This record gives sequence, structure tokens and C-alpha cells, in this order.
Amino acid sequence: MKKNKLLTIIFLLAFGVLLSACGTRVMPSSWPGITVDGDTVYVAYNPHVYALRLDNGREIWRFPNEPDNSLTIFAAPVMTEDGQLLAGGYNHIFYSLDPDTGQENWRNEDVDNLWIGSPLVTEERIYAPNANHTLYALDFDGDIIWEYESGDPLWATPVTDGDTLYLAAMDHNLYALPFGGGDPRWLVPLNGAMVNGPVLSPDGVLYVGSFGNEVVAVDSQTGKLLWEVPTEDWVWASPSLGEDVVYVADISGMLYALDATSGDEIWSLDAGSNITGSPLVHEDTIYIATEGGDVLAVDTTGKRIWTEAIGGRLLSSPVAAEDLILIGIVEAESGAVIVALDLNGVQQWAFAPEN
Amino acid sequence: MLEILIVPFINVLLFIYEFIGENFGLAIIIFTIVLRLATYPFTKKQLESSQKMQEMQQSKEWQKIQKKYKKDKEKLAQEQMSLYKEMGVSPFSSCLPSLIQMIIIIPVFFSVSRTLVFTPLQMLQLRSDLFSSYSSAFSKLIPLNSQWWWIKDLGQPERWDGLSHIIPESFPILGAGIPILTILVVITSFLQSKMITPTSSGPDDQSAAMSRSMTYMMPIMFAFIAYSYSAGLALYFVVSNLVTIIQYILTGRVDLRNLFSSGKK
Repeated sequence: MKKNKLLTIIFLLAFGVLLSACGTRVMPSSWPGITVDGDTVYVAYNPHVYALRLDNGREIWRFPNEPDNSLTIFAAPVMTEDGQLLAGGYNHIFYSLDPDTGQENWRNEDVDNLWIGSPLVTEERIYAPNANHTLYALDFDGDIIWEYESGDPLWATPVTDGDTLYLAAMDHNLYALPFGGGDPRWLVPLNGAMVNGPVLSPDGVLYVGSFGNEVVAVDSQTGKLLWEVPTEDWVWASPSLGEDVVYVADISGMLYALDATSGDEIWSLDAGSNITGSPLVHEDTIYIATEGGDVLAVDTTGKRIWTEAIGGRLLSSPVAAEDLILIGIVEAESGAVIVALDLNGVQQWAFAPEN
Repeated sequence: MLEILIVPFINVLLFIYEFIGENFGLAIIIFTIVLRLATYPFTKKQLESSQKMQEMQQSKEWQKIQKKYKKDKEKLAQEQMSLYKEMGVSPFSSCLPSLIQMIIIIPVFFSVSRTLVFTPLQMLQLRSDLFSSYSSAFSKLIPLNSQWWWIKDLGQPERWDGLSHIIPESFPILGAGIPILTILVVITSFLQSKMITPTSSGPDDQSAAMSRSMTYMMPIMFAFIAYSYSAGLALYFVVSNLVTIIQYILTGRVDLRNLFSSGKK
């Protein structure tokens, strides 16, 4: 009898432990966010923001110094003109750090949800999207000035032309919001959620892709839909602009070059694995990173120049810094979270955080 | 192995969600009812087995061996097992519905949590979970509306804060809000287990003791899961228990007097 009771308890405890291992919010839940400022690279990944030397990838500082179990940060940190480094965490805290030392300047704990997207910084305000459906406008002391609530979580960084904020939302709408807050000037409903922001061309056209397997061009002044092009699969990342060409990738691994005016396809290329990062257009070459672990360099005619197998899952957008291409990595065997390649695809350094 | 169940569950949940007008709470309820109906043959078989066991325990042979080997527990256990075998009864039959439920809740847990995504990697996972032939239609549903009735987010543990003006925030457990679904999980799990727990024929009746301990342990276990994990899973437990109770009643094989007995004779 006692033995049976004991077995029952052990069985139930084992079941509880098994299920507790199924927790959905404690695992690394995104990929490295990378920002370059001068000769320093800032990487937000899991429990830390790291400051690295651009020339050799050596760690300068990390925030926080000791891992904090409640803290994970993935959104690419953003520099302000007055010398603050901003980073929002999945612990609902929005941080301002000293970019030289990693010391905390201030924090905002007024918001009750995840900071997944990076903020947009202008001369006057910080515009930060939060998963609680709300875009917050903060001053440079971290106080909330106004907020705008959309219908679903916000993961995308807004863009601006200096007069209006353009916000891509997961509620399927592209919003044009006045700088000072208030009702949208216009909104354009798309066929799916948007998790990354639009790109704005110098002549005032917004290009954005959605989970509705589409990329669209919208007039930023009127909200008029200029063209709409179907894609094979979800468009996760923001498109990138070349000379009269829009480069956009979908998560099936297709890279498209579209005529910026008409949306006509100029060429397309199958990268062979999912793409969640934006194509990087740098010195007449397009660089893309794939979930399968490859970095591809493609010329403007769609011809592959080189392919470099990095390994792990490459889900971040490649970032150009001087003569380097920085690539964020998830689940690398080496433990690296970022590698630097030269423009020929040769690895220059890799950074694997030491515990 | 679990993926064989998780991926279809996710797609069925999304199909129901779309069909009924994008209501995820209702989708979970309908999904649970469908699942319980699909596993009804197991429930029926287990009920028959449970009833056989009750009849056996009231038989003369059973009473006889209880008296005869009162002081020799080992021999008593052997004789009981022989009798079980002879009459084609499994001593663990009353645990079966709970065990089946436990086996099913793991893929249910994953399918609910993988459908209500909160982070980029979860979103990528969801994309790969969608059946390709429906992915275009399902993609337009994302992100799912995770609010339902008084529940702010079916992907988070449920707490009702309707009495927050009376209960101070520092009050243990209830200070964070009343876990209504957890309370319903405890009540319905207990009722469900209690309805089919056989009465014990004596202090040495190991199978009845096992069943009795499960009657109390299972509601505690499910309550812990419902309290700690998603409201969607707690909703699944409540509906699953209610459907099972209704199935028991409709078969007419359960003794409702079990609800009011201590389980011991």
C-alpha cells in the first residue's frame, strides 16, 4: 500500500517535472540584435548587452555584469544623439545605458509587456513599440509623453520622414501617426501581420512586407497603395533599397529584386533556407543570411558571388561596418553569437561570450 | 514522437478558430469536446472494467479471501491478483482515464502554447507547424486573439481581479487575483475521479487505495499545472473533465453515491 502511494507520488512528480520543462517563456526566444557605432559593436543577446571592439571582436563591457535570470534582451540597441544606448528587455524594462561603460543611466518600468522591437530615436523623442499593442513616445529621461494603442502586439521599429511616424503593426495595419501623438493620418490594411517596419525611399514611398505573403508600396503622404506583389511565403524582414530596386526576402528563402516604381520582378533567387533578416545592400552587393547557416553575397543581377557556411541559425539581419559584414548567430556549435566576415566572406573574428 | 500529435492539434485548433469566427477560447472548448469524443472508446472500456471491479469486490469469493488471508498480506495480494485475472479485471482500471488524459495533455499543452506566440522564435516555430495546404489561410489569422471572456490572455496563467478592491495585493495566492479556472479544475477533476473510484472492500484493498490516492492526487496535480501554466490549458482541463463526467452519467454505469462516500466500507 505504502509502496503504491509512493509510486503514485513519484509518477506525478515526474510528470510535473516533465511539464515544467515545457515552459514557453524561459528559453532563448529570439536572435542577436546588432548595432554599430563608430568602432564599437553593440550586441543584445539573451541575458546581456555586449559592447565589442569592431576591429577584433573583443568584449569591452557587458550589461548587466552578472546574468540576471529575469532579463533577456534581443532588440538591437539604439544610440541617441546625446550619447545614450537604449535597449528594451523581455523583462518589461526599458534601459538607458552609458555606451562607454555599460552603466545604467535610467530605466523605465511603467510598461507591462515585452520590448521586442528596437526603438526609433529622433532629435526630440524616443518611439518604442511594445508587445502590449502600444507605441510609446518617451523623452530622454525615460518618461512617457504619449502613447498610441494598436490592435495587436508591436514588434516593428517605426520609421519617420521627419514629420510623420510610419508604424507597421501585427494587427495587419500600416499606420501614419503624427509626431505629437493622436489619431492616425491614415492607415492601410494589409493581408497579414507585420513584424518589421517599412523602409522609406527618398521620394516618399514606403515598402513593407507581411505574413500575408506580399510586399507592398504605399505613398507615405496619402496612404495610397501603389503596388502589391505576391511572395512565396511570409515576409518577415524589412525590405532594403538599392538604386530604383527593392530587395525583399521571404521566409521560404526567396530573395526578390523588384522594380521600385512598378513592383515588377527583375530577378529572384532561391537561397535554399529560410530568411528572416533584411537583405543588406552594401557597395553594389546584396548580402543575405539564412536560417540554414549560410551567408550569400549576390550581385545586382542576381548572380551569386560567394556562399559562406557559418553554421548555426542565422536569423538576424546582416550589418555592414567599415569593411566587415556582421552576422548574428543562434545555436552555433562554437557558442559564437556574432561573426565578422570581410567582403569576400572570410571570417575575421567571432565572439562567443564567456560565462 | 509528440510532434505527430502536436502539429495536427495546432492545425485543428486553427481550423476551428477560423471556422467559429476567431474565438480561441471557444476553439479550445470545441477542440476538447472533439478530443474527448474521439477517446470515448477508451472511456467506455474503462467504465466497464471499473464496474466489473466493483461487482467483483462485492462477490463472495473476494470477501472470502479477504477474511482468509487477513494476516498474510503477501498471500492476499497474490489471491487478489488471481481473482482479477480470473474475472478479466484490471486493478488499475479506475486510473486509466486520468492516465489517458495525462498522455494527451502534453501535446495539448504544446499545441496551445505553440499557437499563442509571444516571441520571434515561437512565431517561426508556428510557421513551420502550419500545414502547407492551409498555411496561406492560417497566416492571415496571426496573431491569434488570445483574450476570452474575463481571461486577458489564454497563453498566460488565469487570475480574475474582480475582487482586487477587497483583497489586498499582498494577500497570499489570491492577492494576484482569484484563479477561477484552477478552482474549477480541482472541483471537476475531483468529481470525475470520485465518480468511478471503487469502494474499498477492506483496509488491505490495494487497488482501491491506489484509486483513492489518485482521486486526491490528480486534482492537486492538475490544479498545479492550471495555476502555473496557460489559461488555455486550464480551460482544456475543465471542459475535458465536464465532458467525461457527462459521458459517465450518460452510460449509466457509474454509481453517483460514490460522490458522497468516503471510499471506504
